[in-house]
Amino acid sequence: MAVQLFNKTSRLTQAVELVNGLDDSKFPLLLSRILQKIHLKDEETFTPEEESKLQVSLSLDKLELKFVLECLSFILEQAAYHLAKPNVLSQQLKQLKMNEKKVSAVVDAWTNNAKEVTKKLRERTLAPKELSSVSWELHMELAQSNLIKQKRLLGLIELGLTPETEDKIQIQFDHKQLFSFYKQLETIQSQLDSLH
Amino acid sequence: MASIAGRSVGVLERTLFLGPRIPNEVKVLGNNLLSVDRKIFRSLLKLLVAHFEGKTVREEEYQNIRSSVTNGNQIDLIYSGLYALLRAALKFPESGLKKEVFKEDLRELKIADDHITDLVSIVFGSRRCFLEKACIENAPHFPHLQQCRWRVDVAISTSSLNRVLEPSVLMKIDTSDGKEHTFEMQPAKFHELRFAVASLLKEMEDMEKRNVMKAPV
Repeated sequence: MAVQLFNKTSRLTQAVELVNGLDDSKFPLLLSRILQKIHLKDEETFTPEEESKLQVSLSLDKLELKFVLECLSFILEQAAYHLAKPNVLSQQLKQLKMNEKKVSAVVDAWTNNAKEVTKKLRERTLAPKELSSVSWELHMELAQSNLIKQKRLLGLIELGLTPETEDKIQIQFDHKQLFSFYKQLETIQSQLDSLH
Repeated sequence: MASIAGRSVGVLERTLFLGPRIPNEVKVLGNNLLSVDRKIFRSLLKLLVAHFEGKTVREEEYQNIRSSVTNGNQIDLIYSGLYALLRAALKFPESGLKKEVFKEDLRELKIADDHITDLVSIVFGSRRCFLEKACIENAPHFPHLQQCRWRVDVAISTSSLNRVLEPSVLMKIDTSDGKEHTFEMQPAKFHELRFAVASLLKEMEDMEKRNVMKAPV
C-alpha cells in the first residue's frame, strides 16, 4: 500500500478545481518553473512583476493565483519528500479529482525533473555556515625584525564560507602543523570511506 | 668597502657581527664590565635571557640589581650594551654566526674572557631554540591552527526529503587569535580541502628538498 501523499482536505480539493480550470498550454511551463526553484529556501518562485503577469495570462485574481501556486508547490514537494513513483502520483492526483490532462502534465514534469530536484534537496542543509572555497599559498620567510638569513617555509590556507558576509578564515602552517592537519583529514576520509 | 667603517685598530678584515655601526653602549661595554661584579653581570644576563625568551621582565627585578651597586648609571649602560650585543648576535640563525667569529669579535670589543664565556653559553647554549621560538612568535603572522575538531554525520531524513542518507563533515576550527569557526562540508567540498592541503604539503616538501641541496643563504 503506497504512502498517502496528500490528505484530502477541502482546501486542497478547492485548489485542484482551480488548477483544472487553467489553460493546458501554459501549465507545463508553470510546473517546470516551480520545480526549478523548489530547492531554494528563501526565494519565492515568481517575482511580484511575474506574478501580476501570470494573473493576467491565467485569468486569475491575486488570491487565486497564490492559492494555485501553493497547491502545485505542495504537490511537488510531497512527491519529492516521498520520492513518489509516477503511477502512484498519477493515481493519487486523480483521487483528488484533477483532470486527465493536468495529471499527465504533472507526472511528466515530475518524472523528467525528479533526479535533479532530489539531488538539490539532498544537498540542502540547516548548517548556518558551509565551506565554499579553499585556496592556498606557499611562502618562504627570509627575515623579520628579530631574525635574519632565514629560509622558513610557511603555508597559508584561506577558507571561504557560504554566508559571503563572513570574513574568510586565513590559517598559517609550518611543515609540522600542516602534516598533522593532513593526518586529521586522512582520518576523516577513512571514516567517509567506511560508510560505503 | 664595508670593512673600513666601525673598527678600531684591528687585525680583522671584516665588519663585526654587530654590523658597520657599533652602538656607543657596546663600545664602552668592555671597559664597564671590568668594574662590575661577576654575580651582577650574570644576574643582568639572566634578565636579558628571560626577555629574549618572551617572558615579561618586571621592573623590580632590574631595580633590585641596580640598587645593589653604587653606580646605578653604569648598570644602565651595561644593560643596554649587553642588550644590543645579544640582540645582534641572536638575529643570526644558529649556523649563521660561528662561535669562533663571535668570540673574536667580542675580543675586538675588549670584553674580558670570563664574560665572553658567559655570553657564548647564551648564544650557543641549549636554550637557543627557545630564544628563536620567541622571535618567531612575536613576528607578524597569520593565525595558527590551534585545534581542529570534526564530526562525520549522515543525514537520514529532512523536512524536504524522507530518505536522504547523505554524509557531511562538520568541523570546528580554533585559531590562535581566539576565534572559533564552525562549518559544514559536503563530501565534494571536503575532497577539495583535502586535495588543497595535500598539494600544499607536496609543494612544501619539494621546496625543502631543494633547499637542503643548495648552500645556506
